[in-house]
Amino acid sequence: MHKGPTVFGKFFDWVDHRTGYRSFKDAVLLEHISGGARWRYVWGSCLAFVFILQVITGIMLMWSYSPGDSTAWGSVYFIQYEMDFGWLIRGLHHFGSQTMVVLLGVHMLQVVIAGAHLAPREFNWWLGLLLMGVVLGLSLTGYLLPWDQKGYFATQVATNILGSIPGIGAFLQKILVGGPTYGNHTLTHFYTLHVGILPPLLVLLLVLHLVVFRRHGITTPPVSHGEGVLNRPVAVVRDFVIGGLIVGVCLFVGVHIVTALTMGGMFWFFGVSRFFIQKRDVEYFWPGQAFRDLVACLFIFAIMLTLVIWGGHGNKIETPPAAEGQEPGLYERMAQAGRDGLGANLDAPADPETQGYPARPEWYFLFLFQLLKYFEGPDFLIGALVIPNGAMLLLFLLPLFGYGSMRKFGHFLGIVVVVSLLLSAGMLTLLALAEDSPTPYPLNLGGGTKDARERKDRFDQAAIEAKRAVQLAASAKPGESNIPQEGARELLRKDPLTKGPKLFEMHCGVCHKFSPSPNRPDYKGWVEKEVTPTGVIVRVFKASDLADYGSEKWIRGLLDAPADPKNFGLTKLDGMKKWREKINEARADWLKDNAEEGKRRIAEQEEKFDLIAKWLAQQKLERKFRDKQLEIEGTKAFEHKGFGYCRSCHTAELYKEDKKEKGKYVYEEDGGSDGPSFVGYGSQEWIRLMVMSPALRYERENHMPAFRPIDGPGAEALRQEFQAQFENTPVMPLSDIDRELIIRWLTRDYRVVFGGQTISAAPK
Amino acid sequence: MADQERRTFLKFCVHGLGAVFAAVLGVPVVSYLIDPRRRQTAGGDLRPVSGIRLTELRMEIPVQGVIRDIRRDAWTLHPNDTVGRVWVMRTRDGNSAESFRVFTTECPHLGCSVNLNSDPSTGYTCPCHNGQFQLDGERIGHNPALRGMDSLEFEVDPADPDQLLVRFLKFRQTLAEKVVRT
Repeated sequence: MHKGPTVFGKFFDWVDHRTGYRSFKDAVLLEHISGGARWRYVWGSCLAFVFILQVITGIMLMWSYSPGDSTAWGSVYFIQYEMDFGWLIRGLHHFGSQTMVVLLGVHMLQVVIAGAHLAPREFNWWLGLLLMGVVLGLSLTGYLLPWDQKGYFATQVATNILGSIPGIGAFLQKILVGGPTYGNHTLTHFYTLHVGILPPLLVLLLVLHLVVFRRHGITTPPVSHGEGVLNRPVAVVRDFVIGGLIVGVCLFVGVHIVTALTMGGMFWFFGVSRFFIQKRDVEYFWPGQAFRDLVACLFIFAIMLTLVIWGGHGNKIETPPAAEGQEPGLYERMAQAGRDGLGANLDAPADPETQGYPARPEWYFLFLFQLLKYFEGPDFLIGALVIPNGAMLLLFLLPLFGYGSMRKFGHFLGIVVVVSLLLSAGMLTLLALAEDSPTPYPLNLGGGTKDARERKDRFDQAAIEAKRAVQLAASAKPGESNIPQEGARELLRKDPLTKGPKLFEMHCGVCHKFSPSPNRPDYKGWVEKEVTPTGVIVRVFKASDLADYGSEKWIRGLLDAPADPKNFGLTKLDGMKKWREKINEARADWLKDNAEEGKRRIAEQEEKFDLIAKWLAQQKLERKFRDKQLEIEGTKAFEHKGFGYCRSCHTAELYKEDKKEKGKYVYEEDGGSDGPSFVGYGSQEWIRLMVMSPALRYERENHMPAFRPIDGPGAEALRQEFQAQFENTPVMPLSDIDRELIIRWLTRDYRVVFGGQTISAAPK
Repeated sequence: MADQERRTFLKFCVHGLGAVFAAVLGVPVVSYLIDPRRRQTAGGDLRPVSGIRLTELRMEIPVQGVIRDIRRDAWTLHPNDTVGRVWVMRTRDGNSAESFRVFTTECPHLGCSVNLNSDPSTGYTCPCHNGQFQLDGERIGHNPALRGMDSLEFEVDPADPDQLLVRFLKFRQTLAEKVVRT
C-alpha cells in the first residue's frame, strides 16, 4: 500500500478519503479461509474468469458482427478470416463457451463432494443451478449467431422441442423464432437474448451467488488443516491419476494432444506444488488463494489457446504464394492466422434449400440429442422434456435431503446424483459419437453401420461445402472479401463448381453423358448405371459424352471415331460419320495399292489430325492468347485438300499471310456452313449459342432442344416466336444464371456468377 | 517473517502473471479493434463517367455524372456500384483537356453533396452549411469551407469522344489544401 509521502501515495490517500476504496478492497480480498488456501477451491473463480473473458471477447465480436439473414455469416467470416486476430477473439469466445460448460460440471462435482449444497447453503446451490441454466442458454443462442448450416439446422431442433411443450409451446416457439420459419428476426431475437438479456441476468445471479457464498464462507473439508502435509502422498497420487485419466479420455474422443496434455498438466502441476506447501490453519483469500486461482485461470486460458490453435476447426484459405519480397511478416502471419485454418469452425452459410443436412448440436448437448433417439412417437416428450426437466428438478431438491440427522445421507445422495447424472450424460455423449462413427467403437458402443457410413458422406459433403464457401468468400488479399450483397448463401448457390454438376445432371444429363475425368477429381461423373442407396438407376443417353469437351483429346477422339457412342454415335449428326467412312475407305485403298507407302501416308494423315485437334482446341481462347505458329499451321491443315477438306463444311478464323503485305499475318473468317462454325470453338460464347440456339450450330440434323430463359407471363410469346423461326427445335426453360453456371462448370471457369448480374463475376 | 516474505512473493507473482495475461490478451484485442486502419479507399485509376455525353455538353452549364467502380464494404463486394459523382462543365469548344472542368460533388467543408444553383451561371451551393462556389469552383462570400471545390484529373477516352474518364479520389475535409484521403 502506498502510504508513504510519495506523490502516488498522497494521491491514493486522497482517493481513499473520499471513496473508502481500501476498506472495500479489504472486504473483498481479506476473506477468511480456515484451513488455508487450496487448489480445490479454484473452480468457481475459474468459471468467473472465463465468464469475464467471454464478456470481453463477446464485446469484441459485437464490434464487427451483424445479425441479419444476409449479413450474419459474412460478418463472422470477416472476423474469422480477414480481421487482425479475429480468429483468436472468435476462437476464444467459441471455446470459452465449451470451457464454461466443462467447468460447470467440475464446479458442481466439487460442491457436492464438499457437501456445500447442504444447509445453510441451499440458496447458493439454487442460484448455481439458475446460473447453469443461463450459461446453457447462452451456449444455445450463441450457436445460431454465425448463421451457418450447423447452427441453423441444429438450433431448429431446439426450438422445435420448445414448440412441443403441450399447450403454450407452439406460441412460445413462434415468438422466439420471430415467425413461422427461421429468418431475420430469429437472429435479432437470439442476438438480443445472447448479448442483452442473458449476460446481465448472469451477472445479477453471479453477484447474488458470491454475496450468499461470502455469508457462509468456504466449505472446508472435515479434516480442515494440513492439506499437503498429512495426506501429501495420497493427494499427489490422486492429482496425477486425475491428470492421467483426463489425458486418456481426451485422446480417446479425439482431442488434440497438446490440449489433452495442458489439461492433464494442470492437475500434475497441482500435485507437484504440494511439495512446496506448508501447513497452516487459517489464511486470507489474498494473496494465497488469489495466487492459486490465478494460476488455475491461466491454465484454463492456456487450454483455450491450445484449442484455438490446435483445435483444427477452421478452413485454410488457398492463396497463390506471395511474390518475392512481399511475404507477410511475423505480425501479419499471426494476425491473419485464421487464413491458415486456426480458430473456431465456420460451416457453410445457412441455406434453407439444403436437403438432408446432418444436424448435430454442439458436443455438450449431444447427450440430450442422443436421449431423443430412445423414445418412439408419442413418448417423444419423455426424452425431450420429462427426463431433462426431471433431472433439473432432482438437482433443485438435493439440499432438502440433508437436514438434521439426514445430513450424511444428503451428502452421499448429492454425490450419487451428480456423479450419475454426469456419467449418464458422458455415456450418452459417447454413444452419440459412436453412432456417427463410420468405424465401429470398441466395446460394441456403436458405429461402423451402413447408416453411419452414409452419414459420413453427408458430413464430408458439408465439410467440402464449408471449405468451398470460405474459399469463395476470400480474395487473395487479406482484408478484402467477395461476398455478394444478397448474402453469403449465394456464394454456393452461384458457384459453378458446386452447382454446375447438379444443374448439368438435371438439364443436360437427360441426353448427355459425363464420364469420370482426371481433370475433375471431385466429380464422380454421370454415367449409364449409378448405384444409389435406393437401387440401380439406368440412364439412356442420346448425345455425346461431354467430359473434357473441347479439349485436344476430345476433338482427337471425335476425328478418330465420330460414330462412337461417346461422340456422335447416339445422335443423328452424320456429316462427320460419313467423312470418317470416306477416310477409312481411302486408307484401305492406299494399303491395297502399296502397303509401305500406304502406312506412310496414314501416319502423315494422323499427324495432320493431331495438328487439327491441337489447333481447334485453342480456338476457345481469345486471339491474343493463341499460339501463333499453331494458328498458321492449323489453318493450313484446315484448308488442306488431301483429305476430307474441313473448310468445305466448317467456317473458322483463318490466320494467313496478308495478300498485300508479305510477312504480315491477318485473321479472316471463311469456310462452309454445312457443319458448325469453329469461330471461338469450345469457348463460353460458342457453348452459349449452342445451348440457346442449337439450330444455328447444327442446322438440319440437330435434335437438341433450345434452352431459353422462358419464365413468367411473357414466356408463351417468346416460345411461339422461337418456334416460328425454328419449327423443328423444341424449347426448354433454363434461366440465365443456371445456364451460365453450367457453361462455367463445363469450361472449368469456377468464378461465382455474381450478384444477380447474370454474366458478371467477382474479379479473379 | 517467513510468512510475510511468502505473502510478498505471492503478491508479486499475482501481479506479474496478471500483467503477462493482460499483454497476451491486450495486444490481439487492440489490433482487432483498430483493424479498420487497413481498409484502403478504392479508386485512383481512370474510370468512365456515366450519364454524360461530352460532345453534347453546352458551354458553362455543369452536368452531373456518376462514377461506378468496385466497392468493398467490410465483407460485402459490390462489383459495380456508384462510388462518387462529379460535376462536369464545358469551358471552351473542342475536346482537349482544356475544354472541361471536373469537380467532385463532395463539399470540401464537411462532405455534403454540393448542388448546382437553379440559375447555373451563379454556381454551386452546398445544402448543409451554405458553402457557395463559383462555376470555376472558387469560394464566394461568407463561406465555411477553407478551400474551393476539389477538381479531379480527367481524360477524354481516345476511343470515344463522348466518354470522359476521371481519376476519382476522395479528399480530406476541413483543410485549406487538397489532401487525398486514403
